[in-house]
Parts: sequence; structure tokens; C-alpha cells
Amino acid sequence: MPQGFLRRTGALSLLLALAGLSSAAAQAGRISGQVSDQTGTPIAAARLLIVGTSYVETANGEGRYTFRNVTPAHYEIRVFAIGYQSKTDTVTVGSNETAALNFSLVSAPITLDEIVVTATGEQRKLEVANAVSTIDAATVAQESPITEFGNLISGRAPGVQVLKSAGTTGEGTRIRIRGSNSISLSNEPLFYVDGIRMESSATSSTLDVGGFGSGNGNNPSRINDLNPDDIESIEIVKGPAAATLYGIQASNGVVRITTKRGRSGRTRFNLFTELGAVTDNNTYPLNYNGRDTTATGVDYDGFCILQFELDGLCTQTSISVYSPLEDPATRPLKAGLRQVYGGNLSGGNEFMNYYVSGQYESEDGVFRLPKFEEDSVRKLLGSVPENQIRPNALTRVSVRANVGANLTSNSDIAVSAGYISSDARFVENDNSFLTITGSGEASGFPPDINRGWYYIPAELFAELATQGTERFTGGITHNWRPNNWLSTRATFGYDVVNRNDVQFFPTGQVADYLQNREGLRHDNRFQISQTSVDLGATARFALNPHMGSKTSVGAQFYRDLSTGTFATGIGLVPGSTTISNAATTESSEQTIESRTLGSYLEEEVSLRDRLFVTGAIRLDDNSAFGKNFNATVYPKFSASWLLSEEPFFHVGFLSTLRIRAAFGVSGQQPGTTDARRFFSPIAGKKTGVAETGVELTSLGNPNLKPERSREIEGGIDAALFNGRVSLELTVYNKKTTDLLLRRPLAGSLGSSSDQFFNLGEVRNRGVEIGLSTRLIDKPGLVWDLDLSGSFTSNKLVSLGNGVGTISVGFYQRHQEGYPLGGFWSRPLLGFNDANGDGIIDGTEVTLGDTAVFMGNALPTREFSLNSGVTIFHGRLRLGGQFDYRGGHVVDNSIENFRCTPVLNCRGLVDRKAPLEEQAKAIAAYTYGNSEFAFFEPGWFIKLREVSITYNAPDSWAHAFRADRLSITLSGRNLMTITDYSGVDPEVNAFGQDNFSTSDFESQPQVRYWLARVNVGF
Amino acid sequence: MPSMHSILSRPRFLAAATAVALVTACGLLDTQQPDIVDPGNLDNPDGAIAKAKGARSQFSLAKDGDGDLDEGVTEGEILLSGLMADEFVLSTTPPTEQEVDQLRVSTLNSSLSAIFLYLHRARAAAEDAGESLRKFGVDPDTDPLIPEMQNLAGFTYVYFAEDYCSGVPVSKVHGDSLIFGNPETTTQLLNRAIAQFDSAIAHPAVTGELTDLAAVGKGRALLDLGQFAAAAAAVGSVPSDFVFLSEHNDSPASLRNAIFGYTDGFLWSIPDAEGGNGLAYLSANDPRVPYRDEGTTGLDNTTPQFTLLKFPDPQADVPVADGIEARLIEAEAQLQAGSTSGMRTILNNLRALVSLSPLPVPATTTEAEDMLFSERAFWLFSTGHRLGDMRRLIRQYGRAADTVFPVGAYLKGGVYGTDVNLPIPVEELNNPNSQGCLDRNP
Repeated sequence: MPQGFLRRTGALSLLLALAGLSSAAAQAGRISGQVSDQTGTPIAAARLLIVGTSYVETANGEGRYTFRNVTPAHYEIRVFAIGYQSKTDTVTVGSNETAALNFSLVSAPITLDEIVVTATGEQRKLEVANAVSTIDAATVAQESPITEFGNLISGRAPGVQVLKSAGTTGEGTRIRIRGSNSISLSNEPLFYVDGIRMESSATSSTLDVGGFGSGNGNNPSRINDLNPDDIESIEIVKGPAAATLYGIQASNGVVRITTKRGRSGRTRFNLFTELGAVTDNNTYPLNYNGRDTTATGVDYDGFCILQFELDGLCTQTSISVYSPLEDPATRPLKAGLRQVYGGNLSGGNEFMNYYVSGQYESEDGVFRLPKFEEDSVRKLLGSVPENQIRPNALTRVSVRANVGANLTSNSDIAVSAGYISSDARFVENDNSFLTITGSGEASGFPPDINRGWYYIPAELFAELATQGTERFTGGITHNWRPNNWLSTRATFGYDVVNRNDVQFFPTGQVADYLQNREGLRHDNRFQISQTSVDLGATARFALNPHMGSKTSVGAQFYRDLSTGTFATGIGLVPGSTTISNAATTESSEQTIESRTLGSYLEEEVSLRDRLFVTGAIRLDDNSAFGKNFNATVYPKFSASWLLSEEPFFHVGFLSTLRIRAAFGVSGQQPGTTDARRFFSPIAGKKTGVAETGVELTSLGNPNLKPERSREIEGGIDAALFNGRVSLELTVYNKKTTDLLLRRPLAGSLGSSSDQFFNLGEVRNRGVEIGLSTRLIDKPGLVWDLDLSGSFTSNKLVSLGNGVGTISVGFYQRHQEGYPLGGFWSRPLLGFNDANGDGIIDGTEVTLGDTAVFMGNALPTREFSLNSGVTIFHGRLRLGGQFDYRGGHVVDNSIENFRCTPVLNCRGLVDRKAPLEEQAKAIAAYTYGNSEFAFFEPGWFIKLREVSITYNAPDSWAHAFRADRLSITLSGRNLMTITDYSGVDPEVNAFGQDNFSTSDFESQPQVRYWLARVNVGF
Repeated sequence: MPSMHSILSRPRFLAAATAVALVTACGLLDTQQPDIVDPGNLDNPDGAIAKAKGARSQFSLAKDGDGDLDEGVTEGEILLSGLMADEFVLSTTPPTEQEVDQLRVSTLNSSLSAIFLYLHRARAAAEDAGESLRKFGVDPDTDPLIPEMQNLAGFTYVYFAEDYCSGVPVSKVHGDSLIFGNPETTTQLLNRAIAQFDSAIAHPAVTGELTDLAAVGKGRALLDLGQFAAAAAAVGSVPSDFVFLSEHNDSPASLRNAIFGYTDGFLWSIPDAEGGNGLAYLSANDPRVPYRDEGTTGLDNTTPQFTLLKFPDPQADVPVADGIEARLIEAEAQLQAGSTSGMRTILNNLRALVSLSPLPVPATTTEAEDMLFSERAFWLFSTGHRLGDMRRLIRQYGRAADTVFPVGAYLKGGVYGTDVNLPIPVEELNNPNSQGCLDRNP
């Protein structure tokens, strides 16, 4: 049955694509006109659609539009434009005639009526029964301190959390939409660019530059390859209720990115440049070293802690309080330079349009070799490589060419092509002996030894860790409207990333750690591609004068392929930078492939253009399913009711009110080989001769199927007070069953450590709020205030029979009845300075016997306040964003580690330290940091963005022979309010790991100050 | 507008439907997975040999550790049991290893889980390879790989018995079925080992080297069972210069000698009389435990770093069993038989091999026992024997645990615990027959 359905719906989509070939447009007419505001000023980029048909057009720079090949009839035309109320008017088109229809739109600061892109094509947002967040990326990128893609969406969409792992330049980002719902699979959303599915791994690297496990530290995310300045808009589809038609892998939501397009009209040039500074304004903890210069036996000088003194092992003669990270003479953190130079040109005519852009971006991270160390290295070696002076940097060139063409009066084609070339340089970060933060915070050395460092910056920065990326993302979309009731769409997309990860330890110049100093080079090369084919067709019928029907069918094919080779050379001759002729070399390769074939059928019935009821079904098959499982079926139902359009609705202050509800199912496929039992080659040696055998690597599971997420969401959208206020309120309940669970196997089986099963259930509930207001709307002063936020509740309902608690990270667990990845530890029940000596010793603290739940690892509350004030008739615009996250705790592992085993935290050394601080320190020391951890409230409010944009008078622009000139000064991460005692609660030593979270030797978030100039011609 | 019926009746519909059906049928979802080997490809003579070679590698990995030194790999039985014993101290910081060093091992410990899993993988791989060789081999009666596999399996049982508490189950994957074993006592595990060694010795294709290997393995198991005379008898024919090695290579990284890697990398150090009761490996300045004083601390910045030179490079091979161990077994049998002089003679003969001066005459039986176990500790340093010996001192020689294992303050904080063996990791609770350790007796 399922396969039959797959074939039939797939066939139907092709059928509809082919149908109507004979429906000649010989008798067709045209509708054309102009869209302008009440003063007669043309409105560019207004979107127009013919109600009840698939026709959608965009007004050009002069506000003009034309619908071609329109069957003679009477039509309703609806127009949408940002900042204006939508408007509907009627027109009659005769055979071979051009009907004229102009629109004059009334200003409305906030409107709910707009066109969004869905899985079935462009659609009026009010028809879509789900909460879809739309971000005007083009404006944000121009006026805000946007340094990477993640900044574009952070704090701008309710329920969407952007979790940047550290402040290191090039570091990646975790994105969570409505929380986490999968234990073993990714919780990252899917990404589409112009309908092309793109590789969007949150962690994309094999560099072992810290973190816990290769590729788990400060490593890049592929979404940050995107050039924010090329993006027109972003739509975020939040959960299974909305993402059903995107099929398997869509249960975490979908992010649809639309890049900029040309519009008919003269060619427009835009040039921009951005210059700025990246600074580390954080305060690092001081290291306390108990000195004992009197010792004659075991030398405790430097780590004579209070407990040792109590035990009679040493006598504190003094305490060194110092940190090389805080000493201006040794601090290896200096402002880095960020510079961006870019331009684009766009234009077009009735037959084609184009948008071409290019950009060069360069950013130096905050790490900088101290001058005296630079001089020492130069004296020793004659020169200092740039990468040793500035070990963290990113350069990127991005080029885009988007071309659209009307092939015939009823078909068009759009080509989207983006290319980026980037080179990123990383320092070690997060859990490594080779991190500059760890080396400074937890060396254990007093200042007179090694200047307080564990390893000095010159040794650490001599390591070269780079990632070179060449990426092409391109696709072609053909739209064909054989008649006014049918439209078809075919998109072919190809996204390919060629990645080269190189990690090089020059012989004799790096820290003496493991084999690094012998000279070591890893050179790993990958090609990761995603091929996507998307066919779709939509047919619209008028069932009667009041009822409309929209039937959509589609079929998709996706192929994800990753191939890589790994090469390592150990033991390089001094001066050598290549693996060739290394004393020891090794190599391996890797291939991962996954294919998906899916199809859908959707039916939407509309009643009086106010009530929209939709039902859909999707079917997917995937190469990773177990051999005993064929395909999966996902249903969807939704309803959207435009209550304010009803005749009985008379609420004066409500200009628009919509009620919506949706139910949908989506899923996530298993990993490529999770279902298969297989062996892998394993190297060996016998009687001096190398040999290869095999080992059982995976037991597999032939019954493996995808995870299944069901979601119900409901909400209201309202526009109030003549469009001065809009409210979007959504509640959702998402249940994920058939969890793909890596169930640990009893070791005594002697097989793999675990086996995938479909077990367990996770529940996510939440409320999302979006409130937009225009507080003041006067000719000389406009003040906008937007509040966006959400509450999220996550619970592991069950793990399935026979599955015990699963441990992740340091202190995290997946335990039934609690949030996924929650923190657990033995609690500090109390302390008492019983002998009154002012020192809490190990016997004076009381710990609980067993670990208890300490809190969520990820924020459960997030709110952002975005505000913009425009004064002097639009001449000057001030903007800002406050970003709040809370409802979670942070594992301050670095402070714990400084207490034990490093012994340089204040609570352990300084008798003047508050007793509570002493108690935590001695508890860690006494019970070990595997049993007791430092958890602290993780809430914070950050002044995330501040910007001021000056739109210069035309005369200024004309002085440069330009039309437009604007200057923006902006800052990012300018202030933090928090109870967290560590450096920054917004870091993760586990990089973009699915759950594991910790503050451990991580680079805190950095501050940006940017100046940007935009010139338009 | 046309009706849906008219659309569906068009010939193009049939053509399109046929096209989709064809592409699906033509394997559009078929993928290539060149990195993996399908089990069906191994059901032949070459496949059986590949399994046997794989079992060798897994045995080496489980015993000597993964030289990659990355997270998620195993330290190996020698390193972990040596850490729990008095052979090594931790000079780096991972809490899972510190628990072992500090004799306070939680069942939720990734280092513990890894070594338990790797040892069982080595056992199961050897047993599975043996079965494959018998089933698919060209001539099983002439294939020495079969007794070799039996030997390797036998030694994994010995390691379980010596390092873990009583209650280690032995389970099996059989086709699509998982057959869970019951908890087995230390004695049961040792009997399993002896059965494997006996089978190896009895196999028609066994070589002299494999016979000696089985003999030392059997003698070691009998020693653990307290059957000293039988142990000596088992090893009687093993020449003193016999050695069977697990072999290492520079490449790939997993094949490097991890014992070298851990100590040379300042991750683990050699203690001197750890926790008061440990042997004085450093101050003895004994050529059998060569080391280098690095003059600094390990990566934890606390523990003085002394690097083991017994395995001087990543390619250094590690003995599984040798003739010296055979002689030491004989010496212990002499001691047990009341012949202190006989014991001393054997020990002094061995010491002469490395130009060590003869041992003095022990004044008491206790001194003789100390002498024997000290000699065993130095000769067999870092070969996975010491934890079993320390347990035997308690079990077979009536010593108190706090006079054998380290006690008192632990250098990195807190005090030493009282564990004398490794617990069964929490993952084993997925075996419905397992309840963890039956006891924590030595």
C-alpha cells in the first residue's frame, strides 16, 4: 500500500507537470498596473496574487507589475507590501486584452498579511495554519551588527534558540526550534536556500582543537557559510505540524532562506564596506596559589591549600593571586580587525532579472601573541609566522549570481548560484591542555613559574589548525503555469562542500604534549554533497462561488553523500610542512551516503476566502530504514480562520484576527548504517608483518524505522489599533515516539557497545509569543518595539523497556520523567564551620548520598526585545536588542577543575574566601569532581545589539555620484547581566554537541564594534 | 477547466506513473557503503582468516590499549589494572581514571566500561573466529589459528578473573539472538580459561609456541585457583626464553603501544611505594623497571613524572606470557611446598639473567612471600599481573587489604578507597541476568 501510494502520488505530480501542454494560451490576456502609496509614490517589491489561482507577481522598482497569460475572466487581485495594509480589487480580463488595475495602499506599520514560501509553493501567510516566523534579513543585515548567519535569526523568532558555543572567530552555532526531541539524532533544523536543500551540519570539522572528542570543540557550522548580505528573507517553519510536507528529517523544523533577486528596472549598484574591532572584554578568574617557602620534604610550594595546612603537610607563607590572562604584560587577547568589502548589482526587464554580488570578509579573532613573546620567537627563529601572531582568523570570499527569466508568457526559470571560498584558522579551545584559556585559568603554576601559564602562548599559537572550504550551492527552478488553475514547479539543486582540515604542529616549536613536538600533520579532505530534486504541482478549482479547492502534489528525491580521506604524518623533519616522508604515516577513507524518496498530496479547501482547511499526507522511503521496514506515512490537518473578515465581527480595535490550529507528523531517519549489521577492517601485526582483519562493529537492527514526532499547535494572530500592534501567540504540544535510541548493550555480549532501537518517548510543550508595536508613528519620529519569546518544557516520558538512564557529557543524563540531558549531581546539603577556625574542611561539608536533578542544561525561557527609533524623517535610526535566556543551569566545570585537581581556586586556598565558596571548593576536592559539580543559575540578559544608522542626504550621495548613502555604527555583545560567577554563561566546551554542555576552558563571547557604509547607485 | 477524470484518463498519466515506478524499482534508494564489510562476505575460508586476524588485533587492543590516546578509546587491561594496583599513578586529570587510581570506582565510569567491553569483544572475536575457522576453514585440523584463538580467549577469561569482582557474565550473539549469560564467579571464569588452554594444547595443529602459551596461561589460571603444584606442572616444559608477544606498530595510531604512549605522554607515572603499601619501583632502581625521572610533573601539574622505559617506543611489543613467568610459577609452588630455598634458587637464577645480585635468605615465611611477590612484580611489571597478585596476597596469603593496597591521602585530593577489584560496569545491567558484582571479595 505505501509503495503504491508513493508511486501514484509521484506519478500524479509528473502528470500535473505534463498536463495542459495542449492548453494553449492563444486567447489569454494580461493584467498590469502600478502599486503606489497614498501620495503616489511607487511601492517596489509589492507582491500581488490573483485570488484562487497560482499567479503571483512582484512589482518592479517603479511599482509596476504584469500578469501574463491570464485566461479571460473576472478576477480578484490582492496586493501585499511591507508597511502597508493589503488590498483586494477586481478586474475583468478579455481575450487578447490588457486589463489595467492600479493600487493605492494605505500605510500600516504592522501587517499580518504577507506571502510566504511553503513546501507547496508561495502562499498567503494567513492561509497557513502554523506559526511561521519571517525575518526581513536584508534590512537586518544592513542595519545591525551581523557577523554571521546565526546573528540574523538570533532573538528574532519566538521559539528559536541560537546557541553560539564560544566567542572564537569561526566557531559554530547550535540552533534549537521548540527544544530538543531526539536523543541520538540531530536536533538541528533542515535548511533550504532558494528551494535547494543545503548541508547544514552544526559541527563540520575533523580538527581536534579541544573539546571532548574530535570535532567536538570549537568548530564551525556550515550554516555560517551563508553570506548574510545575500539573503532577502528567512522563514522558519517550527515543528512537525508545519513541516510535515518536508518529510523525514523535518521534525526539528525547517529554515527556508530566500536570496536576493533582481527586479525589472534599471541596474542598481550597491557597494558597502564594514570595518570594526573584535575585543575580549571579559574578566578571567584569578589563580590562587598557596606558597610554602619553608618546606623541606615534599614541595608543596604553589599548591599549599588550606586542607594541606590543616593536615600538617605544609604552611602557607603567602598566597600568589595572579592570572596571565589578566596581566596586561602577558594577556594574549588583543583587539582583532574585522573588515568586509562587498557589492552587488541587480536589475532586469520584462523578460529577465539578475542579481550578482561579491564580498570579501576578513576577521581576526582576539588571540594575539604578546609582543615580548613575538620578539623572543623572532630572535630564536628569525621570523614569526602570521598564524602564530594571530592564530584565530577567518577570510571568506562569497559570490552569488541569481538570474530569472520568463521563458514564455506562462513559464519562468530561476537560477540560483552561490559560491564561497573560506579559510579559517582556529586555536585550541575547550578541554585541552593546549588551550590558552585553560593554560591561563588552570595552570596550577604561580606567576614565577612559566609566567603562570601551563604552556606559554608562543608554544600554543605555533600550532596551525585550518579549515579551507570551497562551496557551491546552485539550483534551477522552473515554474510553469499552463493555465490559470494549474501551476507546476520543478527544482533541481546541488550543494557541494569541499573541505580541507589541516592541523599542523611544527617540529620542536609547539608545546611538549604527546607526540606533537616531534612534528605532526593531519590533512583530511572531504567532499560533502546534497542533491535535491523537488517536483510539485498545484491545481486550484472553484468548487462553487464560495468554496475554493487547492490540490497540491509533489515528489522529492534527496541524495546526501560524504566522502573523505584522512592522512596523518608523525615525525617531521624540522622545517618540513608536509606529510610526505614523515617517520610515520597513516591514512584512511570514509564514505557515507543516504537517499530519500518522498511524495505528498495536500488538499486545501477555502470557504469565502476566510476559512482554510487543509489535509495532507506524505510518504517517505529512505535507504537507512531497516530491511523489514518499507516506508513511512505522515498525515497533516490544519485550519485557519480569518475571524475578523466575518460579517459578524465588529471589534473596533482589532483590524485582523485569525485563529489557527494544526496537527502534523514528521520524523527523522536513522543514520546511514544504523540498521545494518556489519564488520569493519582492523589493522594488526603478526611476526613483524602488518595484517588486516575484521571486527564486528555494529549489530544493526533490521526493524529500524524513523522517529515519529506528532505535534498539535494552535494560536491566534491579531493586528490591533490600526496596525500599530500585532500579536502572535502559539501553544504547541509535540510528542516524539519511536525514539531512535542507542540502547547500551551488555558488554558481555562482546559486540558493539550499543544498538539502535525505536524506543521511548519525548514530549515538548511550549508557548511562543511575538508582539510587535509601533509606539510612536509621527512624521519625524517612529518608535518600533518588538518582543519575541517562548517558554519550553521538555520531558523524557519513557526510555522503553529495559533501557536504564543514559549518561551524556560530564553530569548529564537522559532520565525518565526529567528533561533530556538534564544535570545531575550529589547536592551540597550544607556546611558548618564547626570548630570556628574560619576554614571549611572536608569534614564540615555534607553532600547528599545520591545524585539529584540540578536543572536543565539548555535555556527553557528566551525573550528578546528589539527596538528601533527613527528620527529626523528617517534620517537617523537607532536600534537595539536585549536578549534574555533563562530557566537553566550552567555547569561551571572550569571552576570545579581549578579546585581539583589543579588546586588554584580561591575557595581552596584563601582563608578569607566566603565560607560558601570554601565549602564548594572543599567538596569538590574531597569527593572528586566526578561526584560533585558546580552548578549555577544560567540566566542572563545581554545587550546583544546596538546600532545607529544615518541615511545621508541625497546631496551627500550625489557627491559620490551615488543615489543613496548610509552609515551604520553598531556593537554586539556590549553588556551582560547574570548571576553566573564564571566568565560567560553562554559557552559550551562541547561545541555544537547534541546535548553535552559545559563551561570548561571555553573562549567567552567577544564584543564587536562595527562601522558600515552603504552606497547605492 | 478540465475535470480530474479527464486528466487521469490521459495517456501521459500512465507514462508518468510508469516512469516513477521504474525509477523506484531501479534502486533509486540503493547506496554504496564501501567502508563496511557485510557478514555474508566472511562466510568462506578467507573470511574466517580475516576474523582470526581481527581477533588478534582486538586482543592486543583490549590488553595493551589503544595507542590513539584519544577519548572514547580504551586504556587497556594492563594500564587500568596497573593503575588500580601499585604500578602506575595518574599524572593527568580525567576523573574516570582517577577513580580507578584512587580505588573508588563507580559502576558508571567510561574507562571501566570500555575495558570491560573491549575484553569481551576480544573474547567473543576469538571464539567466533575459532567457530568460523572450523566451519569454513580449508582444513581445520591443520590450522594453527584455531589453537591460537583458543589461547587468546583463554587469556581474556584470566583477565576477567584477576581484575574484576565475581559476577562477570559471558554472553553471546547468535544470529539475530542475544544470549545473555549468568554471572560467573572468579573460579568459574578461571575454569573456562583452563578449558580453553586445554583445548588449544589438544588441538592437532598446535605449534610448540602455542603449546607454551597455553601452558603458561593454564599455569597462571591454576595459580589464581590456588592449585600451586598443578600450576607448576603445567608450565614445567616451557623454556625460560619463551615469549609470546602482542605486537605493535607505529601506524595506525590504534596499533601503537599505549603503555608507551600514556607514560611517555606524561599521562601516567610510576609511583614509589604508592599509598604506603605499594612497592618502591623507583627507589629500587631495578633494571626490570627502567624509568626516566622527567624532573617535572605530569600533565596534572601535581604528580611527579617518571616515565616507563620498558616499552621504549610506540612499536614495542608486549609479552602475553613468557618463560620467566613459568619459572615464577614454579618458584611459588616451591614456596607453597615449604621450600623457601627452592623458591630462592629459581628467583636467583632469573635475577642472574639481568645481572642482579642474589636475594638474601628470607628470615620468615612472610619475608619469603614478600620476596616472591616483589620479584613477580618487578619481572612482570606492566604486563597485567600485579592486580591479580595483590588480590592473591589477600585471598591466598591472608594479608589484610589495607596492608597490600595503597591507603591514606590521595595526592589529588581525598583519600584512597577500599576497592580491590574492578566492579562490573552499569551497562551490564542491560543483561537481564546481571545484577552487578556478586561480591567485592579479593
